[in-house]
Amino acid sequence: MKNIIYKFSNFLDYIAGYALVLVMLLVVANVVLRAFGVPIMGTVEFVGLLTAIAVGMSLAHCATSGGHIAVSLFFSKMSKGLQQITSILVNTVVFIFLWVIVWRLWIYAVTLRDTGQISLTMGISFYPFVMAIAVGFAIYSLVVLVKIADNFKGGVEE
Amino acid sequence: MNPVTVGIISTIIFLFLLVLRMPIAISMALVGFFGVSYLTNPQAAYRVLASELYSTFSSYPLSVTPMFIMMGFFAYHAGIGNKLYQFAYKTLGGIRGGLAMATELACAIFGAVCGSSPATAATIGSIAIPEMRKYKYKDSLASASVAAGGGLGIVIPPSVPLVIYGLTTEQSISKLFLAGILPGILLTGLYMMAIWVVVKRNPSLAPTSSGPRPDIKELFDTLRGVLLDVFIIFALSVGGLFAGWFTPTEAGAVGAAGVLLVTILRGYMDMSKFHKALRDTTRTTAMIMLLIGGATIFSRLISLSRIPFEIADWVSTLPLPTFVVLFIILLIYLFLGMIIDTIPLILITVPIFYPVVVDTLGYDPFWFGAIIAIIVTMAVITPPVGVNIYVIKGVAQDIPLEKIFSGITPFLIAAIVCCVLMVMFPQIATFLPSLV
Repeated sequence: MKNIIYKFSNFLDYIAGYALVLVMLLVVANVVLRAFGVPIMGTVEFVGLLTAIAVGMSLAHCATSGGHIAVSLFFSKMSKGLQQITSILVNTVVFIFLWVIVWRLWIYAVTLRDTGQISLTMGISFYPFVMAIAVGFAIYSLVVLVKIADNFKGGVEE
Repeated sequence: MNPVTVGIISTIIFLFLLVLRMPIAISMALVGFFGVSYLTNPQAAYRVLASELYSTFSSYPLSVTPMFIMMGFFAYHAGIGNKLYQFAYKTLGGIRGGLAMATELACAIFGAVCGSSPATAATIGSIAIPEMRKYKYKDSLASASVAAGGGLGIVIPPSVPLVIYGLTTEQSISKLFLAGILPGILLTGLYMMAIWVVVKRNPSLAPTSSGPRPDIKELFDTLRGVLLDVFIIFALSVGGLFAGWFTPTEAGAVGAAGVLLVTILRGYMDMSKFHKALRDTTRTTAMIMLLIGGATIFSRLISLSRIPFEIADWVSTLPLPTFVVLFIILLIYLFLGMIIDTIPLILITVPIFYPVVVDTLGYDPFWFGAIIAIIVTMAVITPPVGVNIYVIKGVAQDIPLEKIFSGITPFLIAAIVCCVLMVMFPQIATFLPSLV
């Protein structure tokens, strides 16, 4: 299970990386074309939406490598047993809260869809991007779940 | 319960969660969510949670952050830092302590294309430390000079911490970058001077007048090579921003594309390095954007609690000279910087202290940004957290941590001197922004 979740986060991270490359290329193309008086319509909107995809898709992979920074100073002074109990409790709270985020993002996306919210210039619907972020948080929560399972087996993240 | 009490209790709970090693971004979002829920109603808190996260992640102004991060990681993985060290090494390597000074110079120039302090320390450290050891430099000087030099990129534009400060305070990123230039050069000079002084006092730290003699032809070749590349990329990206041609996001994208293009043309970049750079970029982007999302939710609570206004009111009635209050605030920054990483430190503290320092005490917002950057450079080399120290430990695993920490004192003194000079002569930071 851990393998599947980690591989899927890895795959999403590739999408995130190329979304950022796309942002870079789009912005540079717009700068160049603007100099010739033909800017790319909706660049600001595309950049915002692609960045949203990039962030959403990279949340889980960042968590697999302990990238979401925390303060380890006090934790490292705890005994091994206390570290294990603390990790289980903290990760459980994080897992539940991530699902609250997923739930509220999904409801927000449905509201945006039902009220027909679209971007001003290109008329792009916002809701699929909110849903993509919700999926990113859902996979992030699964990574946390894997960590809880590891904690129960005695593993504590360094 | 009145809003201030709710704010204070929430902050204590937030700190408690940090002690338990909950990710900082999640702690801020969690506490912010419950605090807003208590002070308004759960429905409002739900709306804040979803809409703030989405608007943070999809914000055009915030997309500047991944672009400058990408620029830095392209430069890092393509090995531009190593080539810069070769240049600095050939220029300064012949004088006593020159290899350590070359390290500072290389870090400062690399800081002009890379806004990440640990990446600078890692890239320069991996080549500079073995070189200094070869010439019998003491490990304390060798490792501490790289750790300190790595922090120079925080002050020298483009700097991700200054971007975060600008976005948090809604100040011009272009002017903040300008504000960082002279303090960055000053700090580089002070670090080099600190090396000169310690080596003069204790010649055994850098025993031989070692290193290569500068060869004019070689220097010229390096100038034409990587240094020219760095100059062109910096001039195009950050220069375009200063000239008002680009928005910050465009400057970042042009910089990233510039580094990518140059490194491909020079043959420094291949597919594997490109993917590694993308990996590091997405990892850092996810970390920072989630932090900003969490901090935005937390700052909603802080605004509702009115804590910043209460602190500003209280400070304005204190019977103390303004510079004493400022000194206390800077000490708080230094202390917090010892236990919290750079970006969360800025995100957590700036909304609280910025109104006090800028609105109540009347200091210049760009000057405050620059001095925070200097304080943060101290924080990244100060125990117990001192992220650059651990990066150096990773690069040179056989050097004990105590040895690295023992060598940082001269650099801390240099940074303190830089802060004092900036308090005495604020023009060091305010002069360049005042020109535009």
